[in-house]
Amino acid sequence: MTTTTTASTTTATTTDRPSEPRRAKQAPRIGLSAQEWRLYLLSGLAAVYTAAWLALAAGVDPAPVASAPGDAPAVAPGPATVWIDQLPPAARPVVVLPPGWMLASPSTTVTTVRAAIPATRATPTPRRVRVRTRSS
Amino acid sequence: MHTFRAMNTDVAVIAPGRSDRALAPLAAEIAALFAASERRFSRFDPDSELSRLNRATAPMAVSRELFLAVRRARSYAIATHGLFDPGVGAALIASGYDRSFAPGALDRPTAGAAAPASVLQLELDAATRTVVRPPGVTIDLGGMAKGLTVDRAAALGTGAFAVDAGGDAMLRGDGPDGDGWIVDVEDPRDPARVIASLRVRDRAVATSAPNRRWWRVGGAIAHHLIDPRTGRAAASDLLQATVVAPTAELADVLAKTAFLLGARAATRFLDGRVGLGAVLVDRGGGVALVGEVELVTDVGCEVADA
Repeated sequence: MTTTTTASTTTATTTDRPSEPRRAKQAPRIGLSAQEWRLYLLSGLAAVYTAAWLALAAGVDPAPVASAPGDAPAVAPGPATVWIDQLPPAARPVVVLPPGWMLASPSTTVTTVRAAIPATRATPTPRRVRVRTRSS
Repeated sequence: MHTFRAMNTDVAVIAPGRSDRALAPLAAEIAALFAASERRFSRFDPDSELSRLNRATAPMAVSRELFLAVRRARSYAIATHGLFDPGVGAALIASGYDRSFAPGALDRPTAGAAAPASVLQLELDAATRTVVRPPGVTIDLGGMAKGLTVDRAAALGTGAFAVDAGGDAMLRGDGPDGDGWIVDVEDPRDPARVIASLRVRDRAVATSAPNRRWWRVGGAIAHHLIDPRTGRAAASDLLQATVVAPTAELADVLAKTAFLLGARAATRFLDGRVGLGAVLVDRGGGVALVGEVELVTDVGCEVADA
Protein backbone atom coordinates (compact mmCIF):
# COMPACT_ATOMS: atom_id res chain seq x y z
CA MET A 1 0.00 0.00 0.00
CA THR A 2 1.20 3.52 -0.92
CA THR A 3 -0.08 6.67 0.77
CA THR A 4 0.13 10.04 -0.89
CA THR A 5 -0.61 13.14 1.09
CA THR A 6 -1.36 16.51 -0.40
CA ALA A 7 -2.33 19.69 1.25
CA SER A 8 -6.08 19.23 0.76
CA THR A 9 -6.87 15.66 0.13
CA THR A 10 -5.57 12.40 0.96
CA THR A 11 -6.07 9.60 -1.43
CA ALA A 12 -4.96 6.12 -1.03
CA THR A 13 -4.31 3.64 -3.72
CA THR A 14 -3.48 0.11 -3.28
CA THR A 15 -1.02 -1.55 -5.48
CA ASP A 16 -0.12 -5.17 -5.23
CA ARG A 17 3.62 -5.73 -4.93
CA PRO A 18 5.40 -8.94 -5.02
CA SER A 19 5.70 -10.04 -1.47
CA GLU A 20 9.22 -9.87 0.05
CA PRO A 21 10.60 -12.93 1.76
CA ARG A 22 9.79 -12.78 5.50
CA ARG A 23 12.85 -12.43 7.72
CA ALA A 24 13.34 -14.83 10.63
CA LYS A 25 12.79 -13.11 13.98
CA GLN A 26 16.20 -12.50 15.66
CA ALA A 27 17.20 -11.52 19.18
CA PRO A 28 18.42 -7.96 19.36
CA ARG A 29 22.19 -7.89 19.18
CA ILE A 30 24.39 -5.70 21.37
CA GLY A 31 27.33 -4.88 19.34
CA LEU A 32 30.01 -4.49 22.04
CA SER A 33 33.61 -5.25 21.60
CA ALA A 34 35.65 -7.11 24.21
CA GLN A 35 37.25 -3.82 25.21
CA GLU A 36 33.84 -2.28 25.84
CA TRP A 37 32.75 -5.31 27.86
CA ARG A 38 35.80 -4.84 30.07
CA LEU A 39 35.01 -1.21 30.63
CA TYR A 40 31.42 -2.01 31.62
CA LEU A 41 32.63 -4.70 34.00
CA LEU A 42 35.16 -2.38 35.62
CA SER A 43 32.65 0.41 36.05
CA GLY A 44 30.18 -2.06 37.58
CA LEU A 45 32.73 -3.29 40.07
CA ALA A 46 33.71 0.27 40.93
CA ALA A 47 30.09 1.10 41.63
CA VAL A 48 29.70 -1.92 43.95
CA TYR A 49 32.96 -1.04 45.73
CA THR A 50 31.89 2.58 46.21
CA ALA A 51 28.47 1.58 47.52
CA ALA A 52 30.00 -0.91 49.97
CA TRP A 53 32.55 1.64 51.14
CA LEU A 54 29.89 4.28 51.76
CA ALA A 55 27.73 1.75 53.62
CA LEU A 56 30.59 0.77 55.88
CA ALA A 57 31.69 4.33 56.49
CA ALA A 58 28.17 5.30 57.51
CA GLY A 59 28.22 2.74 60.33
CA VAL A 60 31.42 4.00 61.99
CA ASP A 61 31.53 6.91 64.32
CA PRO A 62 34.47 9.02 63.44
CA ALA A 63 36.98 9.34 66.26
CA PRO A 64 37.13 12.78 67.73
CA VAL A 65 40.15 14.54 66.44
CA ALA A 66 41.54 17.57 68.15
CA SER A 67 41.76 20.32 65.65
CA ALA A 68 44.72 21.92 67.30
CA PRO A 69 47.19 20.86 69.98
CA GLY A 70 45.73 23.36 72.42
CA ASP A 71 42.14 22.15 72.12
CA ALA A 72 40.64 21.08 75.41
CA PRO A 73 39.22 17.55 75.31
CA ALA A 74 35.54 17.14 75.98
CA VAL A 75 36.11 14.99 79.09
CA ALA A 76 38.97 15.59 81.49
CA PRO A 77 41.13 12.44 81.46
CA GLY A 78 42.27 10.57 84.57
CA PRO A 79 45.93 10.26 85.36
CA ALA A 80 47.72 8.51 82.55
CA THR A 81 49.64 6.19 84.88
CA VAL A 82 48.77 4.81 88.29
CA TRP A 83 51.26 2.76 90.23
CA ILE A 84 49.64 -0.43 91.34
CA ASP A 85 50.81 0.00 94.91
CA GLN A 86 49.13 3.42 95.04
CA LEU A 87 45.75 1.75 94.67
CA PRO A 88 43.98 0.49 97.76
CA PRO A 89 44.57 -3.26 98.11
CA ALA A 90 40.95 -4.09 97.35
CA ALA A 91 41.07 -2.12 94.10
CA ARG A 92 44.26 -3.66 92.77
CA PRO A 93 43.67 -5.72 89.65
CA VAL A 94 44.79 -9.31 89.44
CA VAL A 95 47.96 -9.22 87.41
CA VAL A 96 49.46 -12.40 86.03
CA LEU A 97 53.06 -11.89 85.07
CA PRO A 98 55.12 -13.92 82.67
CA PRO A 99 58.20 -15.53 84.14
CA GLY A 100 60.94 -13.03 84.78
CA TRP A 101 58.59 -10.03 84.97
CA MET A 102 57.91 -8.10 88.11
CA LEU A 103 55.50 -5.45 89.27
CA ALA A 104 57.21 -2.09 89.46
CA SER A 105 56.55 0.68 91.92
CA PRO A 106 58.09 4.15 92.21
CA SER A 107 60.37 2.87 94.93
CA THR A 108 61.47 -0.23 93.05
CA THR A 109 64.78 -0.32 91.34
CA VAL A 110 64.04 -2.42 88.32
CA THR A 111 66.79 -4.69 87.25
CA THR A 112 66.40 -6.63 84.08
CA VAL A 113 66.89 -10.32 84.61
CA ARG A 114 66.67 -12.68 81.71
CA ALA A 115 66.39 -16.40 81.97
CA ALA A 116 69.62 -17.76 80.63
CA ILE A 117 68.87 -20.29 77.95
CA PRO A 118 71.37 -23.11 78.19
CA ALA A 119 73.47 -23.74 75.13
CA THR A 120 72.87 -27.08 73.48
CA ARG A 121 75.62 -29.13 71.94
CA ALA A 122 75.51 -32.00 69.52
CA THR A 123 76.64 -35.23 71.11
CA PRO A 124 77.51 -38.36 69.16
CA THR A 125 74.52 -40.67 69.19
CA PRO A 126 75.46 -44.24 70.06
CA ARG A 127 74.61 -46.82 67.43
CA ARG A 128 72.22 -48.51 69.82
CA VAL A 129 70.44 -45.75 71.72
CA ARG A 130 69.81 -46.59 75.35
CA VAL A 131 68.39 -44.38 78.04
CA ARG A 132 69.56 -44.74 81.62
CA THR A 133 67.19 -44.00 84.47
CA ARG A 134 68.50 -43.14 87.90
CA SER A 135 67.77 -40.88 90.80
CA SER A 136 68.83 -37.33 90.05
CA MET B 1 71.36 -36.21 69.92
CA HIS B 2 71.73 -32.85 71.63
CA THR B 3 72.49 -32.22 75.28
CA PHE B 4 72.36 -29.25 77.59
CA ARG B 5 72.44 -28.51 81.29
CA ALA B 6 69.27 -27.42 83.11
CA MET B 7 67.58 -27.97 86.47
CA ASN B 8 70.94 -29.05 87.89
CA THR B 9 71.04 -32.07 85.62
CA ASP B 10 72.03 -33.14 82.12
CA VAL B 11 69.22 -33.12 79.59
CA ALA B 12 69.38 -35.12 76.36
CA VAL B 13 67.17 -34.63 73.30
CA ILE B 14 67.23 -37.82 71.24
CA ALA B 15 65.75 -38.24 67.77
CA PRO B 16 67.12 -41.35 66.08
CA GLY B 17 67.53 -40.97 62.35
CA ARG B 18 67.65 -37.20 62.41
CA SER B 19 70.88 -35.36 61.85
CA ASP B 20 72.29 -33.15 64.58
CA ARG B 21 71.88 -30.20 62.26
CA ALA B 22 68.19 -30.94 61.69
CA LEU B 23 67.62 -31.46 65.41
CA ALA B 24 69.41 -28.28 66.53
CA PRO B 25 66.43 -25.85 66.30
CA LEU B 26 64.15 -28.20 68.25
CA ALA B 27 66.86 -28.81 70.86
CA ALA B 28 67.25 -25.05 71.28
CA GLU B 29 63.49 -24.70 71.70
CA ILE B 30 63.50 -27.40 74.35
CA ALA B 31 66.44 -25.77 76.14
CA ALA B 32 64.47 -22.52 76.24
CA LEU B 33 61.46 -24.40 77.60
CA PHE B 34 63.57 -25.86 80.40
CA ALA B 35 65.04 -22.44 81.20
CA ALA B 36 61.56 -20.90 81.40
CA SER B 37 60.32 -23.77 83.54
CA GLU B 38 63.26 -23.46 85.92
CA ARG B 39 62.67 -19.75 86.11
CA ARG B 40 59.09 -20.41 87.15
CA PHE B 41 59.34 -23.46 89.38
CA SER B 42 62.77 -23.32 91.01
CA ARG B 43 62.80 -23.23 94.79
CA PHE B 44 66.42 -22.06 94.73
CA ASP B 45 65.96 -18.99 92.53
CA PRO B 46 64.70 -16.19 94.77
CA ASP B 47 63.16 -14.45 91.77
CA SER B 48 61.23 -17.48 90.52
CA GLU B 49 57.47 -17.35 90.63
CA LEU B 50 57.41 -20.27 93.06
CA SER B 51 59.84 -18.47 95.40
CA ARG B 52 57.62 -15.40 95.31
CA LEU B 53 54.64 -17.59 96.17
CA ASN B 54 56.61 -19.20 98.99
CA ARG B 55 57.27 -15.70 100.41
CA ALA B 56 53.77 -14.34 99.82
CA THR B 57 51.94 -13.28 102.94
CA ALA B 58 48.77 -12.33 101.06
CA PRO B 59 46.73 -14.03 98.35
CA MET B 60 48.83 -14.14 95.21
CA ALA B 61 47.65 -14.38 91.61
CA VAL B 62 49.91 -16.79 89.79
CA SER B 63 50.50 -17.87 86.23
CA ARG B 64 48.33 -20.52 84.63
CA GLU B 65 51.27 -22.96 84.60
CA LEU B 66 51.99 -22.61 88.30
CA PHE B 67 48.32 -22.69 89.23
CA LEU B 68 47.74 -25.90 87.28
CA ALA B 69 50.89 -27.48 88.68
CA VAL B 70 49.83 -26.72 92.25
CA ARG B 71 46.36 -28.02 91.54
CA ARG B 72 47.72 -31.27 90.12
CA ALA B 73 50.07 -31.56 93.10
CA ARG B 74 47.04 -31.44 95.38
CA SER B 75 45.39 -34.17 93.31
CA TYR B 76 48.48 -36.34 93.64
CA ALA B 77 48.57 -35.73 97.38
CA ILE B 78 45.00 -36.98 97.63
CA ALA B 79 45.58 -39.95 95.31
CA THR B 80 48.67 -41.08 97.21
CA HIS B 81 47.09 -40.58 100.63
CA GLY B 82 49.55 -37.79 101.35
CA LEU B 83 52.73 -39.69 100.52
CA PHE B 84 53.49 -37.39 97.63
CA ASP B 85 53.16 -33.87 98.95
CA PRO B 86 55.17 -30.90 97.63
CA GLY B 87 54.14 -28.98 100.74
CA VAL B 88 57.16 -30.41 102.56
CA GLY B 89 59.46 -27.62 101.40
CA ALA B 90 59.93 -26.29 104.92
CA ALA B 91 60.97 -29.74 106.15
CA LEU B 92 63.44 -30.05 103.27
CA ILE B 93 64.98 -26.70 104.13
CA ALA B 94 65.08 -27.53 107.85
CA SER B 95 66.83 -30.79 107.10
CA GLY B 96 69.54 -28.91 105.22
CA TYR B 97 68.41 -28.91 101.59
CA ASP B 98 68.34 -25.14 101.42
CA ARG B 99 70.29 -24.58 98.22
CA SER B 100 70.88 -26.28 94.91
CA PHE B 101 72.46 -29.64 95.57
CA ALA B 102 76.15 -30.31 95.11
CA PRO B 103 78.10 -33.11 96.84
CA GLY B 104 79.25 -31.84 100.24
CA ALA B 105 77.61 -28.44 99.87
CA LEU B 106 74.79 -29.22 102.29
CA ASP B 107 76.87 -30.87 105.06
CA ARG B 108 76.27 -29.29 108.47
CA PRO B 109 76.64 -30.15 112.15
CA THR B 110 72.96 -29.89 113.02
CA ALA B 111 69.62 -29.62 111.31
CA GLY B 112 66.32 -28.12 112.32
CA ALA B 113 62.80 -29.41 112.14
CA ALA B 114 59.61 -28.09 110.62
CA ALA B 115 55.98 -28.62 111.50
CA PRO B 116 54.17 -30.97 109.11
CA ALA B 117 52.65 -29.07 106.20
CA SER B 118 50.71 -30.02 103.10
CA VAL B 119 49.71 -28.58 99.75
CA LEU B 120 46.18 -29.46 100.80
CA GLN B 121 46.38 -26.51 103.19
CA LEU B 122 46.64 -24.12 100.24
CA GLU B 123 43.50 -22.32 99.16
CA LEU B 124 43.07 -22.06 95.40
CA ASP B 125 40.67 -19.83 93.51
CA ALA B 126 40.45 -20.96 89.89
CA ALA B 127 38.51 -17.88 88.78
CA THR B 128 41.33 -15.50 89.67
CA ARG B 129 44.13 -18.10 89.71
CA THR B 130 44.88 -16.97 93.23
CA VAL B 131 46.73 -19.05 95.80
CA VAL B 132 46.47 -18.42 99.50
CA ARG B 133 49.47 -19.92 101.28
CA PRO B 134 49.23 -20.42 105.02
CA PRO B 135 52.44 -19.66 106.92
CA GLY B 136 54.55 -22.79 107.25
CA VAL B 137 53.61 -24.25 103.88
CA THR B 138 56.60 -24.06 101.56
CA ILE B 139 56.11 -25.65 98.17
CA ASP B 140 58.83 -27.70 96.51
CA LEU B 141 57.78 -28.90 93.07
CA GLY B 142 61.26 -30.33 92.39
CA GLY B 143 60.97 -33.60 90.51
CA MET B 144 57.35 -33.01 89.56
CA ALA B 145 58.32 -29.78 87.78
CA LYS B 146 61.09 -31.62 86.01
CA GLY B 147 58.64 -34.31 84.95
CA LEU B 148 56.08 -31.87 83.60
CA THR B 149 58.80 -30.04 81.69
CA VAL B 150 60.00 -33.31 80.17
CA ASP B 151 56.43 -34.06 79.10
CA ARG B 152 56.00 -30.65 77.49
CA ALA B 153 59.35 -30.94 75.75
CA ALA B 154 58.61 -34.43 74.44
CA ALA B 155 55.32 -33.19 73.01
CA LEU B 156 57.28 -30.90 70.69
CA GLY B 157 58.85 -33.80 68.79
CA THR B 158 57.40 -36.28 66.35
CA GLY B 159 57.96 -39.95 65.64
CA ALA B 160 60.60 -41.74 67.69
CA PHE B 161 61.68 -39.01 70.04
CA ALA B 162 62.94 -38.88 73.61
CA VAL B 163 63.75 -36.28 76.22
CA ASP B 164 65.84 -37.49 79.14
CA ALA B 165 66.44 -35.18 82.09
CA GLY B 166 68.88 -37.01 84.33
CA GLY B 167 66.88 -40.21 84.42
CA ASP B 168 63.38 -38.72 84.19
CA ALA B 169 62.62 -39.50 80.56
CA MET B 170 59.72 -39.49 78.14
CA LEU B 171 60.19 -41.98 75.31
CA ARG B 172 57.84 -41.42 72.44
CA GLY B 173 57.12 -43.83 69.62
CA ASP B 174 58.52 -47.27 69.05
CA GLY B 175 62.15 -46.38 69.53
CA PRO B 176 65.11 -46.20 67.19
CA ASP B 177 64.49 -49.54 65.48
CA GLY B 178 60.76 -49.86 65.87
CA ASP B 179 61.00 -52.46 68.64
CA GLY B 180 60.87 -50.11 71.60
CA TRP B 181 63.29 -47.97 73.58
CA ILE B 182 65.78 -49.72 75.83
CA VAL B 183 65.91 -48.24 79.31
CA ASP B 184 68.72 -49.26 81.63
CA VAL B 185 67.90 -49.07 85.33
CA GLU B 186 70.95 -48.04 87.29
CA ASP B 187 72.09 -50.13 90.22
CA PRO B 188 71.69 -47.88 93.29
CA ARG B 189 74.65 -49.58 95.00
CA ASP B 190 77.00 -49.13 92.06
CA PRO B 191 76.18 -46.41 89.52
CA ALA B 192 78.51 -48.03 87.02
CA ARG B 193 76.25 -51.07 86.82
CA VAL B 194 72.85 -51.65 85.28
CA ILE B 195 70.47 -53.70 87.37
CA ALA B 196 67.83 -54.32 84.72
CA SER B 197 66.97 -53.25 81.19
CA LEU B 198 63.42 -52.58 80.08
CA ARG B 199 61.75 -52.26 76.70
CA VAL B 200 59.49 -49.21 76.67
CA ARG B 201 57.12 -47.79 74.06
CA ASP B 202 55.40 -44.42 74.39
CA ARG B 203 55.99 -44.32 78.11
CA ALA B 204 57.94 -42.29 80.63
CA VAL B 205 60.31 -43.49 83.32
CA ALA B 206 61.48 -41.91 86.56
CA THR B 207 63.56 -43.17 89.45
CA SER B 208 63.65 -42.18 93.10
CA ALA B 209 66.49 -43.11 95.42
CA PRO B 210 68.51 -41.37 98.10
CA ASN B 211 71.86 -42.58 96.74
CA ARG B 212 72.81 -39.34 94.98
CA ARG B 213 71.25 -36.45 96.88
CA TRP B 214 72.42 -37.01 100.42
CA TRP B 215 74.44 -34.98 102.89
CA ARG B 216 75.86 -35.21 106.37
CA VAL B 217 74.14 -33.75 109.40
CA GLY B 218 76.56 -34.29 112.26
CA GLY B 219 77.28 -37.99 112.15
CA ALA B 220 74.06 -38.92 110.36
CA ILE B 221 73.05 -39.05 106.73
CA ALA B 222 70.14 -36.97 105.47
CA HIS B 223 68.53 -37.16 102.02
CA HIS B 224 65.97 -35.37 99.91
CA LEU B 225 63.11 -37.88 100.01
CA ILE B 226 61.05 -36.45 102.86
CA ASP B 227 58.22 -38.48 104.34
CA PRO B 228 55.35 -35.98 104.66
CA ARG B 229 53.94 -38.02 107.56
CA THR B 230 57.00 -37.30 109.72
CA GLY B 231 58.65 -34.32 108.05
CA ARG B 232 61.91 -36.27 108.10
CA ALA B 233 63.99 -38.15 105.56
CA ALA B 234 62.09 -41.31 104.67
CA ALA B 235 63.21 -44.63 106.09
CA SER B 236 62.30 -47.25 103.50
CA ASP B 237 63.16 -50.87 102.92
CA LEU B 238 63.76 -49.92 99.30
CA LEU B 239 67.01 -48.64 97.89
CA GLN B 240 65.37 -47.42 94.72
CA ALA B 241 62.04 -47.27 92.92
CA THR B 242 61.72 -46.89 89.16
CA VAL B 243 58.27 -46.34 87.68
CA VAL B 244 57.08 -46.60 84.08
CA ALA B 245 54.00 -44.45 83.46
CA PRO B 246 52.20 -42.60 80.67
CA THR B 247 53.82 -39.27 81.63
CA ALA B 248 57.11 -38.28 83.22
CA GLU B 249 55.27 -36.18 85.81
CA LEU B 250 53.23 -39.16 86.94
CA ALA B 251 56.27 -41.44 86.85
CA ASP B 252 58.13 -39.06 89.16
CA VAL B 253 55.20 -38.79 91.56
CA LEU B 254 54.74 -42.55 91.72
CA ALA B 255 58.45 -43.31 92.04
CA LYS B 256 58.61 -41.14 95.17
CA THR B 257 55.41 -42.67 96.46
CA ALA B 258 56.67 -46.20 95.86
CA PHE B 259 59.93 -45.46 97.65
CA LEU B 260 58.08 -44.14 100.69
CA LEU B 261 55.62 -47.03 100.69
CA GLY B 262 58.32 -49.66 100.75
CA ALA B 263 58.50 -52.91 98.79
CA ARG B 264 55.34 -54.68 99.86
CA ALA B 265 52.96 -51.72 99.94
CA ALA B 266 54.36 -50.26 96.73
CA THR B 267 53.73 -53.54 94.93
CA ARG B 268 50.14 -53.56 96.15
CA PHE B 269 49.71 -49.90 95.23
CA LEU B 270 51.07 -50.16 91.69
CA ASP B 271 50.23 -53.67 90.57
CA GLY B 272 47.25 -54.05 88.25
CA ARG B 273 47.02 -50.40 87.32
CA VAL B 274 46.73 -49.90 83.58
CA GLY B 275 49.78 -48.37 81.97
CA LEU B 276 51.95 -48.51 85.09
CA GLY B 277 54.94 -50.64 85.92
CA ALA B 278 57.82 -50.51 88.37
CA VAL B 279 61.22 -51.90 89.17
CA LEU B 280 61.81 -51.97 92.91
CA VAL B 281 65.25 -52.61 94.40
CA ASP B 282 65.25 -53.58 98.07
CA ARG B 283 68.00 -53.25 100.63
CA GLY B 284 69.09 -56.80 100.09
CA GLY B 285 69.64 -56.14 96.38
CA GLY B 286 66.52 -58.02 95.31
CA VAL B 287 64.75 -56.66 92.27
CA ALA B 288 60.98 -56.88 91.89
CA LEU B 289 59.12 -56.19 88.68
CA VAL B 290 55.62 -54.84 89.20
CA GLY B 291 52.84 -54.30 86.68
CA GLU B 292 53.45 -53.53 83.04
CA VAL B 293 57.19 -53.81 82.54
CA GLU B 294 58.93 -55.72 79.80
CA LEU B 295 62.32 -56.95 80.91
CA VAL B 296 65.03 -57.15 78.27
CA THR B 297 67.85 -58.47 80.36
CA ASP B 298 69.13 -58.30 83.88
CA VAL B 299 72.69 -57.81 84.88
CA GLY B 300 74.23 -59.38 87.91
CA CYS B 301 71.11 -59.54 90.07
CA GLU B 302 68.40 -62.03 90.67
CA VAL B 303 65.12 -60.75 89.33
CA ALA B 304 61.93 -61.73 91.06
CA ASP B 305 58.68 -61.07 89.26
CA ALA B 306 56.33 -59.75 91.91
